[in-house]
Amino acid sequence: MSLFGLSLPLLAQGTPAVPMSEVVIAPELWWAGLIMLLPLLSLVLCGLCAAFKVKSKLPAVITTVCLAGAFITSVFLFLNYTPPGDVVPLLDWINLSWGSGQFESFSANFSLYIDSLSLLWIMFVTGLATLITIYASEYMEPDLGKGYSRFFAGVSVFIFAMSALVLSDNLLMLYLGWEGVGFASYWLIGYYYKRPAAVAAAKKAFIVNRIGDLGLALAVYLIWTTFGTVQYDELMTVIQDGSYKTVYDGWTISVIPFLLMLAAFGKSAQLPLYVWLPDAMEGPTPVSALIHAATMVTAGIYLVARTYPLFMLEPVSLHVVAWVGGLTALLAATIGMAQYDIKRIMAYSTISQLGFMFLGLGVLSTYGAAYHVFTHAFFKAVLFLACGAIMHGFAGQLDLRKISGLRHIKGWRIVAWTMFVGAIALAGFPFTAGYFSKDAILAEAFVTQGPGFEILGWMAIVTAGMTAYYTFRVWFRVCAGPVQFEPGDELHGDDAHDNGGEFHPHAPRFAINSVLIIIAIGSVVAIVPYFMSNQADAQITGGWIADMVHDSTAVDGVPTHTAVVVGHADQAHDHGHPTLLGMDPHYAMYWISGTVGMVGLFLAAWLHLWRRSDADALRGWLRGHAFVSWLPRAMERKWYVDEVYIALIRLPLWILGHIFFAFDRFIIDGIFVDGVARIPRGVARWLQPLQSGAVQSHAVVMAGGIGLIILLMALFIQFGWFGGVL
Amino acid sequence: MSMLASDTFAAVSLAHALLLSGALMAIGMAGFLSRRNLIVMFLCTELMFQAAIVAMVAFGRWYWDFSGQIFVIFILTVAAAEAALALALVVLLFRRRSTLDAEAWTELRE
Amino acid sequence: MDAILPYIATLIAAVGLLLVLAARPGPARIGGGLIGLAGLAWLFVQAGSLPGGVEDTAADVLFLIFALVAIAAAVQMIVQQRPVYSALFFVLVVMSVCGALVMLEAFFMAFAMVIVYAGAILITYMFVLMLAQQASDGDHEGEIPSYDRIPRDPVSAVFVAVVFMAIVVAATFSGLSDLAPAADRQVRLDADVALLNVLPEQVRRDVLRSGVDVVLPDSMSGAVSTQDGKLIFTGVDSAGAAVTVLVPPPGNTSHVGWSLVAMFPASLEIAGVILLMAMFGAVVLARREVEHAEEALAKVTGRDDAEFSESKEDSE
Repeated sequence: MSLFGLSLPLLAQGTPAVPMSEVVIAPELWWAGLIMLLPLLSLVLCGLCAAFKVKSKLPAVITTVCLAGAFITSVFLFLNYTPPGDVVPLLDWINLSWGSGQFESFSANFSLYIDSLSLLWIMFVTGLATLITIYASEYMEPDLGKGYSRFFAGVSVFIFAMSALVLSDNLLMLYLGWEGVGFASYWLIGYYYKRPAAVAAAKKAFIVNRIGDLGLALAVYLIWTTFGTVQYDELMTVIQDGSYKTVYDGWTISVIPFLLMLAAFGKSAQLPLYVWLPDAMEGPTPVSALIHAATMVTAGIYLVARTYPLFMLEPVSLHVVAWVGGLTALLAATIGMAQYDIKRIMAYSTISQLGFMFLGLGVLSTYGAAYHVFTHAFFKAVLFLACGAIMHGFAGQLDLRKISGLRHIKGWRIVAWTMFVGAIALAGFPFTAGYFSKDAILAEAFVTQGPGFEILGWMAIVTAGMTAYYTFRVWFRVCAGPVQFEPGDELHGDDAHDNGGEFHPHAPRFAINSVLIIIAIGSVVAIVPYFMSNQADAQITGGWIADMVHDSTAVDGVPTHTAVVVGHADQAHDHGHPTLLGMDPHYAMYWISGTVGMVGLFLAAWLHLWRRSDADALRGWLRGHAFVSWLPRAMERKWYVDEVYIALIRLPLWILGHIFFAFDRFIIDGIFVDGVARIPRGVARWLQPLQSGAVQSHAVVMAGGIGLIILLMALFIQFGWFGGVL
Repeated sequence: MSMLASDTFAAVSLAHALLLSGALMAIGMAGFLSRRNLIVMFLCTELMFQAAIVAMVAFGRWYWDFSGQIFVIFILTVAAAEAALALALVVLLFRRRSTLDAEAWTELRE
Repeated sequence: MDAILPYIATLIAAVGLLLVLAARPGPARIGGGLIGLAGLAWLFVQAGSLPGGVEDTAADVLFLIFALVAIAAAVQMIVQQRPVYSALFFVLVVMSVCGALVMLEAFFMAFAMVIVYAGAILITYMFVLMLAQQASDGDHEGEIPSYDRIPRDPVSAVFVAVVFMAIVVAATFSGLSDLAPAADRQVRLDADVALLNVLPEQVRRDVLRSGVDVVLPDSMSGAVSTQDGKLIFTGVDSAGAAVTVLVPPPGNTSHVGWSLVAMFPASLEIAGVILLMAMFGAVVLARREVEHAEEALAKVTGRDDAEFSESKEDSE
């Protein structure tokens, strides 16, 4: 069945939990299209604002209203959809058929596939987008009248594309949304287009994403040739029936998940395609919060979750996903520990947490991954927004060595304490949302059987410890300790006018504060869905989130071993009851991760709150000893990955580009184009002296010419050359 | 009375006559292309006429067809007309540039 | 291999011509002349073995003498520095060509050529030469201008000349065998007979002049015929006996005249028209006024502008 000779676990062969035949086509839910249309409308209106050079905050208002409308629509949709899923046709796009068989038609329309997975995603995407837009209305004030409209247009485009991606009913529309979010990301990272670093970062993001997009495109083609359709409902039906083509010994079955994985890694910044995300911090902070923490980077997770049955057909792919996720998490955490720019630390933290999510997907814990996506969206958004507020207020200062004691400064308390809420959630402090979501993943690593999954689990636990450490390194350094600060590079001068020359930080106002508070509350409240379920019979642990995932195509990643076994898809989880340290893994994990988190937090407090001098001493010791100094240096230098890429890829391409340029200039242009142009000129110059104007030279040519022709004719005849011409 | 006795007729070889014609034509051509004096150029064209005349008469004698000699009459006519007109033009050209040099007229050049 | 020899001879002659043209007067020119003559001589010798070749050596030798003079005069004509000498050598060319024409039995043409060419056309050339010579600058009188001294690009001139000669050589040496056979005696006699039969008055006169007693019929047509290669007039004498009278063959002039009038009357008229047009054209052209030529003329003839234009107005 699979390329790697592993036999498929019995998972996919059991009775499906969600018979796809129950998915109904629901044209009465046409108003769900508003989720996509409202951002589009906002885009158009913001474009008009830009055209008319509006100088007020009107674009922000427009975007906020439209996104809020989209959010309300999605909540309404959630309350009104019929499980297990609805297909809402909106617009016909491509419908080709040249026969009546399975592989003789291709259709991809603008239709929405409403099931719990997509609803989960779209709700938090639009919700967070609305809040972040409100934040951005104040954050982007310095650009009022200059790029303000452009920013909100970009955000609208992004939400439009993201909603297309999440709500799509077929892979082609998903690809459309995929490209759209890539474009929006490029546009928004390069928002400060006058800065070369921003432009370079935008290009890097787009190009690295493109590599992933290649995987997605190839996967879509292969899916069509193997399964005969790209629409989800038909696709899942075909997979469950087994009526797909096993032509070529099924190599496509094995290759498709890897291609999808490539796309997911590109979009969600995993090894080796993560290099764009830290550079993407050149964009404005709301962009970093919305796109590169909460929503766009989760598109990769969504893709894998959506096409999970395909991954289940080739179990090796899931192992690869798990390992890549785990390694990325570890690597990014080590880098994050050694950076000084707080936004960059958060970026690496995002990469690391995404690694966790992929790890979750790989160990058959899709609900863990989805839950972690959900909670991470909140607490990472709050962390980024807080960093943004700091940057906004301290004239671009982001170095944690230069700011300290923020919570003691008047007007900054909200920022400091919301940041604290986010930090403890990220660190996985016991009984925070992050704690539960991380545990769901970590425990599963010890439950599911797979190559080296135990090692992976311990690696993940160490990474969790590191996460706690670097998160609180940031918080203790910036928000605690003695008060001191320095302004950053973007000192405009108007911040200093109060104090007659001395820098005074510009405290955030209502919009920023209120959004920070709301999202912080959200990250606390995010615990609730883990325990509550809106289903009468709570079949599964994991609460509402698990329910949501369970009712979708990612069903196979929902463990069922602790609650009432409903009798499906649970054999792999049931047998053997793997234990961790002698206890049931879920239970053990509560203690282990809690302990590890506390250790990390304590270490951070020691080095960065109470005994900062010890941190300096430690650093000096590390640097002084050669056998270990390479480690912090490598971590600070991001393990030289960028340099490796430059040497391996960029430099050869640059050389190749120059070679081709030279080839084009000297050979194609020089010989073929200019050379051809020079020929008439040369011939003309060569023949020019014939026209000297003197009648005798003309006569020579004329008479000589005629004479030669006749002579040649006569000679041909006389000597019979060429058989006598005449 | 014919000038010569009619029972012996002078048999000049046609080949020699043609070669004479060719030689005169060649020399006339060489003169036309190498002399710069306008009038001498026209004289060389007249020389080429002579060559043509010799050739015509020779062939006429070969076939004993008098059309050759008739055509020579017309050649003479044309040569006379052409000489008159050409010389008138040469006089005009000479009046313009005060020189008989053919190289003085090189306006049709690149 | 034999086929190439004429071309080699041509090339030798060309080399000679080039030397004559390009070199200054002196031994080089003389040497060139000799080489050219040698080449041509060889060529003529080779031509002797062709069909239509030499049948009567004496006549051919005379022809060759005329040919030699013609060619030599032609070469001299093209290398003379003074144009008047060129014209005179051209006269010599015309004379020798006339001699050659006589050897080719075109008597009328020969003398017509002398009269028209040497007599009329060349005189015209002389006059124009005289007219044109006088406007050279008064300073350098007697000096030959450069455009007369130095030949212009003799190499390409000789090249073209060689090409033309080669054409004739090719035609002669390979084409003569394709010609229809030469007209023999019988054709001549037939032509004579045909002519005499349309010239009854001449036959009558000839018969009368011969003094033979013969009765001349009213219509003389068809009375002439040939016998033993001679033309005879068969008639009846006063006694009624058949008499044959030798009739002299008509001359070249008669033949030419008859052919001209009988076969090409229209062309004759047109030739006249051409001459008329030429006369008109020459008159019109010569009357044209050219402005600065007046000044040059005045300078050369030593007269004032005012005087000159005054005289012009008088004449108008």
